[in-house]
Amino acid sequence: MNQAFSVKNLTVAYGDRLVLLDISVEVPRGVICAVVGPNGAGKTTFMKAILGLVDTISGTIVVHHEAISYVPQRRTIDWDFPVTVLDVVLMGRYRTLGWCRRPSEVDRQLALKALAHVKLTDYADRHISQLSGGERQRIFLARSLVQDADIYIMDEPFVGVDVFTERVIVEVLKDLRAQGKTIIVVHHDLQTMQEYFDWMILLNIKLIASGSVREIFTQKNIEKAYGALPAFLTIKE
Amino acid sequence: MISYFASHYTIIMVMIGTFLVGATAAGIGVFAVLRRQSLLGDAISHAALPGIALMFMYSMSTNPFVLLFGGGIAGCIGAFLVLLITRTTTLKQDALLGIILSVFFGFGVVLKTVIQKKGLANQALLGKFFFGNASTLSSFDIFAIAVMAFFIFCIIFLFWKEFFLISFDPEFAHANGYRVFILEVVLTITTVFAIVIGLHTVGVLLMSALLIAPAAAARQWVSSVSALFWLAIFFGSLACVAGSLISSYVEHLPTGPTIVVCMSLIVIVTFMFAPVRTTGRGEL
Repeated sequence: MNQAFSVKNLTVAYGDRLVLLDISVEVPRGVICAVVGPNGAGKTTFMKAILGLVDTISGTIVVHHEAISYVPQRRTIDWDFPVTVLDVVLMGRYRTLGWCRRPSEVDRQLALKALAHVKLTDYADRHISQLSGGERQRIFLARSLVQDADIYIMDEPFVGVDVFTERVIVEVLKDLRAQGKTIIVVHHDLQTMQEYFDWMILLNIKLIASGSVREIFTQKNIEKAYGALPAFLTIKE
Repeated sequence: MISYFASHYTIIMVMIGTFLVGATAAGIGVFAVLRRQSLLGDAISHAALPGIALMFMYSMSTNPFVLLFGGGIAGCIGAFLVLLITRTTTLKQDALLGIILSVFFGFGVVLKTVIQKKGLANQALLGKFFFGNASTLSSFDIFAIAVMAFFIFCIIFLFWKEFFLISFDPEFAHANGYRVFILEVVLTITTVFAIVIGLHTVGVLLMSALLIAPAAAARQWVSSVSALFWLAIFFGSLACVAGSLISSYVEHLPTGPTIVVCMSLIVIVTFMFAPVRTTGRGEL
C-alpha cells in the first residue's frame, strides 16, 4: 500500500477528439509529482480524471486515500464574487462541517493558520478582487491546506505568479511532502523540474514515461514528448 | 366605517402578499445573479404560461392554485430543458434561455387565445397571469404564499453553504464530492417555486424583475454574500410594499407594474449613489 493512486488503461475523449489514450501509471506516496507535456497533451484532463470530473471511455483509477484536494486554475473563477479571502479559505472546511453547520471559531483558526502558511495573514478580510495573481494562487493553496487531504492536485500553480509566490508555493509543497502527503502538479517549466519535483509523468496524449525525475527526466524522453528542443533547454543529466 | 375597514383590510392583505412574494424572490434571486443566470428566472416565468393554460383546459378549474400548479410543472420542465441541453450540447446557456423563453411563451399565448376564442373562460382569468392582479388575493392565497415562502427560506438556509459553493466554484465543489448537479436541481426547483407564487401577483412578464433587480442593486452596495442576501430581501420587499400601497391609493394603477417601477427606482438610485467598487476582471 505504498501507492497514492494508480491508473490503468485510462482513455478519455471529448466528442471525437482523443485526449488521453491508454494511460497506465502508479504514483507512490510522499512525492511531489509533475505532470508534464506540451499544450493539448491532456494534462488537465488527466488530473480531472483522477478527481472524477470527466467521463472516461475506459480505464480504472484507484485512489488509495479518500481525501483529495484540488487547486483549480485561477482563471476559472469569477473574481468579482462578493467574498473575502477568509471566506474562500473556509470553503475548504465545508466538507468536514457537513450539512447545515456554519464554520466555527476552530475553523476560522485553521483557516488563519493556512493563510499564515502561504504568507497572507494580513489579507483575511480583503475582498478577493483586490488580490494580485500570485496572491490569488496562494489563497487557493490555503483553501486546499485546511482540507487536510492526503493527495493534493494542482493545475498550473506556477503560471503567471511572481518569484515570491513561486517560492512560497514550493515551500508549502515540501512541507506537505514532509508530512507524507502526495502532491500532483501540472507544470510547464522544465528548468525547475529537478529542483522542485522528485517524480514525474510525461504525457502527450499517450504516456511517454513516468517514474522518478532522476531516471525519467532525460533529453530523449523530453524530445519524445515535445519534439526537438532548442539548444538552451538542453538537459544536464 | 365598515367599508373603510374593509378597504384597508384589502390593502393590508395585498401588502402582506406582495411583501412575501418580493422577499422570497429577492432571496433566491441572489443565487441566480451570482451564478450569472439572470435570464433563468425570465425563462421559468414565461415557461409557466402554457402550463397554466393547459391546466385550465384539463381541469376547467378557476382556482389559482390548481392553475399555478400547472404553471410550476411547466416552469420546471423549461428549467430542466435548459440544464440538460447545456450539459449535452455546445450551446451556451444564454442562447438556450432565449429559445426556451420564447418557445414556451409563444405556445402559452396560442393556448390562451384558443381558450378565449372557444369561450371557455373570460379574458380576465388567464389575462391576469400576464401582469398579475394583487387586489384579488384572498386570505387563503396569502396563507398559501406564506407557507411556500417559509419552505423556500428553509431550503435556502439548509443549503446555504452548498448553494454558495456551487455558485462560486462548482468545480471545487465537484472535486470535493458534492453532487453539484443535484444541488443545481434543488436550487432551480426552489427558484421555480419562488417565481410561481408571484405569478398571480406580478405576472409572468415582470416576475423576473423581482428576482434579479433586488440582488443586482444590493450587489452595488455590499461585498459579502450574507449582506447581499439581506439587503436584496430588504430592497425587494420595500419595492413590493411601496408599490402595492401606491397602487391602492392612486386609482387605475396596476399593482404588479407599479411594484416593478418602484424596484426600478431603487436600481436607478443605486447606480447613481452606490460606492464605486473595484472589479476583479483583470488581475491587480
